[in-house]
Parts: sequence; C-alpha cells; structure tokens
Amino acid sequence: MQVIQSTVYKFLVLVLIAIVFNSCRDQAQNATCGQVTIKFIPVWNGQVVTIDSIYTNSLNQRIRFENITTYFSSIYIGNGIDSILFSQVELLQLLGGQATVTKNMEPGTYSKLSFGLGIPPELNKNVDPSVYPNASPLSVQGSNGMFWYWNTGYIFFKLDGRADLTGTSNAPLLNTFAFHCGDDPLYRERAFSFATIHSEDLTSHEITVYVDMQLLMEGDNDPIDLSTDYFTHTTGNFALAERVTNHFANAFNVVP
Amino acid sequence: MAEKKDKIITYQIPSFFPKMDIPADNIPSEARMELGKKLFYDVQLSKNQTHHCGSCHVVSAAFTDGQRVSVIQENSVNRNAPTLVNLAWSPYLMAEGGVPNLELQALAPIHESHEFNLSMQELILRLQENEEYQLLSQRAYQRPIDAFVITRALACFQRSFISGDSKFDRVYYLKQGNFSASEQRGFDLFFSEQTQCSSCHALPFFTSYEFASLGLTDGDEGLKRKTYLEEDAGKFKTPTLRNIEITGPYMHNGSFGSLVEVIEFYNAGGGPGRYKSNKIIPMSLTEQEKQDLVAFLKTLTDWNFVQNAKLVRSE
Repeated sequence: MQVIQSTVYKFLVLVLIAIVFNSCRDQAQNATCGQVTIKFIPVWNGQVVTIDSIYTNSLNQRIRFENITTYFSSIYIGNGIDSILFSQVELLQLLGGQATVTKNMEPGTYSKLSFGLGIPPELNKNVDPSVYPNASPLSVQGSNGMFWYWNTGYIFFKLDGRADLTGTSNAPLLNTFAFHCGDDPLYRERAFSFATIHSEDLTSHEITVYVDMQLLMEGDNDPIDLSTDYFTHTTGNFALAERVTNHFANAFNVVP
Repeated sequence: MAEKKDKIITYQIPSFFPKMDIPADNIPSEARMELGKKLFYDVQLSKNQTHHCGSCHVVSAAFTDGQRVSVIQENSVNRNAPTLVNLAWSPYLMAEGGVPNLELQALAPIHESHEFNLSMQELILRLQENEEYQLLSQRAYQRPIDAFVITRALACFQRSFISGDSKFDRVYYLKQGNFSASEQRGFDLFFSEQTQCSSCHALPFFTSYEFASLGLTDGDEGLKRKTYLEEDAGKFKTPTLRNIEITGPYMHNGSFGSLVEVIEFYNAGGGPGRYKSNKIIPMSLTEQEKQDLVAFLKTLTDWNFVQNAKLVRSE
C-alpha cells in the first residue's frame, strides 16, 4: 500500500511540476503565453488513416483499423538545453482526427520532442487506479478499460481492426486482429528534433507526430502476417506483443 | 433527521494469527462494512444484473460454490472459485499473484469479461441512482460513490472473512480437546518429511503463498501469464487448506471432486507436467494413512465461520 501511495505521490508531484513550469501568467492580465499543440496523425502511404478506409499490406491482406487507443507519457518539449514537461500522461484515440494535446507554454525556443509509448514502470506496476482523480487518464474511469485488472498495470495501446486475408477486392473483412500490449518491458521512449519554433505571446504552434501505420504493421521488412499473428493480450503471446510494440515505437515521425 | 455517525470497528483476529496490515485509508467501520456487504451481494455489479460476488463465493462453502468452474451470465469462468478466507494476510491475490491487495482485487471480477463484464463507469452510474448507496458512501468515506469507495468497501468487508476457529485451531493452538487417533495420525503425516504437505501448506494459514506446479496439464499457463517465463508454466499460488472439506472440487481447474482423489493424486507423485515441483513425489501411503490424512484435513473446517450470520446476505 505504501508503494502505491508513494507512486501516486510521485505522479502528483510531477503534475505539480508540470503545472508550475507550464503555468504562464494569466493571459487576461499579462499575455505572455504561447500555445503549443501536439497532434498525432496515423497515416498509410502518406494519407491520413480513417476508420472507413481499407489498406493493403505487402502480404496482400486488406486491413481496416477500428481502434488505436494509446498512452503517451513523459512528453517533454525542449531545445537541447532545457526540457519542459509538456504532459505527464495522455490517453489518445489516434483515429478520428482528435488526437491532440494543447498546452500553454512559456515564451521560448523549442526544437526537441520526446515521449514514452505506454506508461513508465514507476507509474505502471503496483498502482491503484482508483486513487487518481476521475479525470486523470490513469484513473479507473479515465483509463477507460486500458488496465489489466488481473495483473495490475496499464494496457499501453490497443490496436484493433478487421482484415480480409484473400486479397480479393471488395471481399468482406471477415477476420479480426487485436493487439493489446502493455507491461514494463514494453515501455518505449522516443526523441525527435524538429525545425525550431518560437513560442511567444499569444502565438500558437502545432507539432505533428505522424504514425506510419504501414511501418507499424510491417516494421523494417518484418510484416505481421494477420493469418497467423492476429491476437495478443501481451500475456500468452509476449513475443508478438513485443514485436508489435517495437514496430509501433519505430513508426513515429515528427514534423513541426 | 440527524445523519447517523459512523463508528470504527476492529476485526476479530485469533491470537495465533499474525497482525493484520490494514491500509490507512480503509480502517474498518460500521458503515464501511455495511457498504461492502451490500456491494458484495448486489447483482448490479454484473452486466446482466444476474450475479453478485456471493453467487460464486457462498459462505456455507467457505466462500466457494461447489462447482468445478463457475458459470456466470452463461459464461464459464476458466478456473475454480477460490475460497476467500483470510485474504487480509495474502501478500498478493489471484492465482498468478498479479494483484497486490484486496482493494485492487475488487476491480478484477467486475471488469473480467467472463465474470461480471461491467465497466466501472457503468457500475458507478447504476449506483449513483441509488440514494441508499449515496448516503452510505458519504457516511463511510465522506465522498460520492466512485471507484475508490467501491474498491475500499468491498475490501473492508472481505478482510472480515477471518477463519481460525476450527478443531485444529482449538486442539493445536488453544490446547482445548484432543484429536481422534486417526486425526492425530493424519496430523503427524501432514507435518512429516514423508509427505512434506506442510512445506507448502504452512501454518498458520495452511499456505506458504508460493507458486508451484503439481504437474497438471490442462493448458492453463498459470504464473507464466504474468512472468512470461517458460519454467513458470502451470504454476499457481498455493491455496489455503483451511475449510478444505467443504471447498471442493479441488485444484485451479476443479478437476478433483473429493479429498480422496486429491490424496491419490499426490500419492502417485502428481501429474506429468514438465515444471512440476520437486516436492511432489510418490508417497507410498497405505489406505489407512490416506484415511488418516482425510480425517486430519477435516479438522480444518471452521463451522462457526461458515455459519456466521453476519457474513450472509441480508434479507
């Protein structure tokens, strides 16, 4: 229990630090804040992935994505010298164009972005989600089913969809796939550089993080064959969970 | 009308049990116990509103249900319902030990698709509509009913499932009365090098809480689900033997219907599974010795506990 309380305490301290560092002076009194938005966009062959579209992989399997719910954590923006905690944890549905996080930022110059895919170990295991405020993405309500209740810890991402394995145009997508991955060994950190932005008074900037779904499904010449590798809840098929996670972690590309 | 004030209570713990660790945010009180019991027996916890915790954890069967595996909302749970006694001392919960405390454990059956299959959001919406729950929640935890309250109250009630008043306890710990000759021979065997029963089913809870494989080969990966280690395949947390007489069928999959079958299994050296514990070896027990072991195991039944009206569903 003390471990749990300590973990929650650490989380709340980090949130407080984030608030302190991110809290610009009241814009109404003294407008000094710039606004930065990080937007996550899934793409396939350069086109935005939509829930209605069907994509064909290198194995001639036709795929439709229905759910790409993902935890991002320890999101930092910096300039190579200073680094500011942008957000401790976000839970985003990447489909549908709403996967954005917007924060007020102190005026500054930013050219670095880093984040974790999933939840870092210190916030993942021995955590009681019921002690977080309901609005927190780590709470029972806020996590929205992204928690392993039989083996406490968060589900880092859920990638669900349907597939047709015949490769026949217009054939119904009769097969399903589900990759629900999450456990301490699957936490991945990524860091990126982008063209410098200057966050100044009342200016807004957008950093776009593209998720190459083709790369996620195929890796670096390691396509996931949905006729055999179509299901993992991490346990039972950890190897597949690790493979999909590694593909996912390598599928990000940042454009300011 | 003045709001009824809550009152802190204490769990009745046998003198020979260790101290119980109770989370600071869940000190037992009358209101917390009342709320926990109400939740434990409320079918609103299940999606189809057909089952409650007590459906599969029946007091008279030491909080088991007599089934090989439970059937909930037309779904079979893939494991035998475990007894819930003395959970307050368990260092981890679930067969793989994946849940660190009773508060968190309450979340598992609610969300599990083969059990209650209900989201916490939906459950809270249901309970928020009930004025009695709202009043109890405020009285017990000084907040509206939410995940925190539900998990705490259920844990508070379950910590009261303390079973330590069996014939064994009275004879061995309290020096009251004697075993029969057969029970005494069974006691001696149980704690002998020959059987090594007590090396895993250790006092005072008749479990060491360690993980072990008995060599059963039903495909359930057990601890491997949590650790991903091949050598953990088929290992499960050692269950308590308290009240074992009335908690059959036995094993994680309910594959043995009687204590005699269980002893025959051990006597033969367990199952053929690859990662079987090296403590499971043929024992060469005589028929008399098998009967004596059964006689001893029956002294572990706490009849006062399984007939405790305070634990039964309130009408």
